[in-house]
Amino acid sequence: MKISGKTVNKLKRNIAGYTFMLPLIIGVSVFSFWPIISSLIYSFHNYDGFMTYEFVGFKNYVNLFRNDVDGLGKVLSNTLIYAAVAVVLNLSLSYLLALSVSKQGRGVYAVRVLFYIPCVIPGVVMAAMWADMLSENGAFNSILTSLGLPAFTFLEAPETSMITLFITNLWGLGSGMILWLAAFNNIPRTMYEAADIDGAKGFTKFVKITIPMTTPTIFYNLITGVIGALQYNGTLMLAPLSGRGYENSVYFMSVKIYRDAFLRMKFGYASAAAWILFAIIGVLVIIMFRTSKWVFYGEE
Amino acid sequence: MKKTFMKLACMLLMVAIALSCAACGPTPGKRTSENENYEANLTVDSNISTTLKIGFYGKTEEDENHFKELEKAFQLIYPNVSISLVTYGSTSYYQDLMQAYRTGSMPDIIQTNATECFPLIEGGLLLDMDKYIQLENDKYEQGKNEYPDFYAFENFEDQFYDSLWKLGQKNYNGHQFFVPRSADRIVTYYNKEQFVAAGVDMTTVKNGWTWEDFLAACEKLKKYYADNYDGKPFISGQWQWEAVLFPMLESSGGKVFDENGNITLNSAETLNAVNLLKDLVTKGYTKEKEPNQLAFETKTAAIQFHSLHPDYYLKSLGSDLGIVTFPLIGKGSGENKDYSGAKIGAGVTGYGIYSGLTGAKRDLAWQFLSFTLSRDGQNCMAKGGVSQPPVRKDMQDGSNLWRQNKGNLNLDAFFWEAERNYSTNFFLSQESSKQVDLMEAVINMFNEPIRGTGKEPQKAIEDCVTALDNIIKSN
Repeated sequence: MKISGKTVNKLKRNIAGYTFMLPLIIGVSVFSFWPIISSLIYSFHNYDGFMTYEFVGFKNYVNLFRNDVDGLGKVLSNTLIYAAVAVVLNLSLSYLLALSVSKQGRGVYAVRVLFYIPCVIPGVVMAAMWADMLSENGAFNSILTSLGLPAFTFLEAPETSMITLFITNLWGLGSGMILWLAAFNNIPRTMYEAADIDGAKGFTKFVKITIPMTTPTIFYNLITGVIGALQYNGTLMLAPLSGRGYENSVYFMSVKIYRDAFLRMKFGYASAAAWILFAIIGVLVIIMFRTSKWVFYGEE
Repeated sequence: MKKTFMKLACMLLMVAIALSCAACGPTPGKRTSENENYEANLTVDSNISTTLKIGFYGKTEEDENHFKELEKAFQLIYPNVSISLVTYGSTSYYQDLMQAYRTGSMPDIIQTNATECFPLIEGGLLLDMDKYIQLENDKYEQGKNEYPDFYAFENFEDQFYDSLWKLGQKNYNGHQFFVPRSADRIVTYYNKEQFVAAGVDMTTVKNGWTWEDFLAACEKLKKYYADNYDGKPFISGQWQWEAVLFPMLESSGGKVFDENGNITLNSAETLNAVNLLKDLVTKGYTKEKEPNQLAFETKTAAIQFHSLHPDYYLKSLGSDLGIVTFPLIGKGSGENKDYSGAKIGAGVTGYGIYSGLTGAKRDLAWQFLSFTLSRDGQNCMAKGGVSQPPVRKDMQDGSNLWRQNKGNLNLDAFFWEAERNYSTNFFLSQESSKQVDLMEAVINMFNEPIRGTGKEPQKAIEDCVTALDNIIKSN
């Protein structure tokens, strides 16, 4: 590739800028681009992570859809159901929580802190805690039985495991709450004052001002929430049968990718599964962006 | 500006692709040339100066100490050789090894075990050590000819229990890819004080006791636990562990596959095996996940099936600790019950040599393994805290360190009728990538009837057959 004198001049002129960018470019290349491209290449190979490395074309992709040991359909439907419910539940409840603690008042700060504290607990610790508390003789069942109620199966039965996961994930509502509170604070007070002059009541102000003015944050939380939920692998530590749950009831794509790569030693196959997940996330994100006219970015 | 940036981005992308494809990619084909065409040599210059890197999982004090002891003794022969240890997570073992392989930082010696070795052998990571073993056999033969009184065995390999030695071989019957370090056998650890207090007939609690003897003891313990521990279950059975469950299946006559690889699990024998466990739960002796290992250590469980070394339990139970063999499960009924086919779960942990190792360092790695297998080596391990029974046949007597400071513990339980040892092997006829799923399916079959939802044993077996069929037919 021949670099023209004009380009060299441009490079010289902007050398300081490029120098500042260099660490980031190197970091992104090494830790993001490189693994991404590697995994794409692996996905076309029969690769065990060690020395077996044979080109197999699209075989891994075809096998995933045609003849997967876990049943890709079941794993994908679990993942999509989880993402759909968990995102809606977490966004709406954290929004309501933030609303309820957005006003100044006695004890508000304490409530905010209480809800945020769980978010600083590391994921692994949290999973171990939940696994213990939800076990047959764990804290929750001890409380239930001491009240004369029957013990609940939580993650120990396929019928109740997904619901249990949704509830355990509410533990992290505090992190969403912080983002909503920041969004509420960014709404100009003058808007509410003008609405007061016009005689608007609380609910009208909420629907006509608060919600529209926080749509950028809603959109951001929606996008990151969907991506995060589709990549959820918290069950690896939490659910029985190596994170699959009984009858594969909480078997998600990320857990499957982990099992394929590091338990079944099918690295190429796992890479193909990862690219399928990436494609699904990509399509959903594109759809969300294409239908984002409801997001209010201010007068343009 | 935009164009320049795009050019730069493209260049970086190309570099990334090139690096991914070439420099840090795997090395296909290496396995065959290294594993089959190397020259083994038992003579290593005693002045060799190097460090042997050993990759092992877990990181207990005993693990580190036993390597220190081995290093000290090995340095008497090779004074300039040091040992460095690399720890791999027990739950991220393959992951860590993959990373080490890809970054070119593989250890010279790799710890593995009878169930985790398959992907490493298939993946070409472990050296086929047959050439070294052949040389050791020749050397032993020579020594035997010259000093017959000092060489009591047939050959080098004959010094070790065959049932344990072959667990380091490909498919447990072929080329040697790792050498066993120590013997792991499932035994019945029990709380002697509680057994006596419960009124268990102690004359039945001896090596070779039967499942019926065990049930009679459990019935006594049930009453004792009802009076003293609110009726809590008292057998910590490790019911998710293949080393406990598969011998139960094998002893009952159940088979997962026949010789042709056809599924033969759905049988009356399998049903008997599943019912053995279900009965224990129905009678209130145990639960799927309770009591746990800690309960036995804190004396709130009376029985523990495990292969851990006795020192571990001696710390918490002291003189209350008792050991006896795993109860023998017979076929048939009544007085005609046949116990000849009863099996006891066994496995080994051991060390293999990285197939990428070459020249004098590979020879040295073998020397280290050979030393580990010697009487001195096994005693060094015991001195360092790994007091599991040795794999050598000639280390049964009390002069060996592993037996010392154990009081009157029945350590023979680890060796009693060693031919009954059984290591889970039903999956050998299938691809190694399917091993995990096959094992999980059969373990799940045992556990489903004892969960809260209580699936009928026959239904659990039928579901397991469907799952196995699915696994075999999958890619």
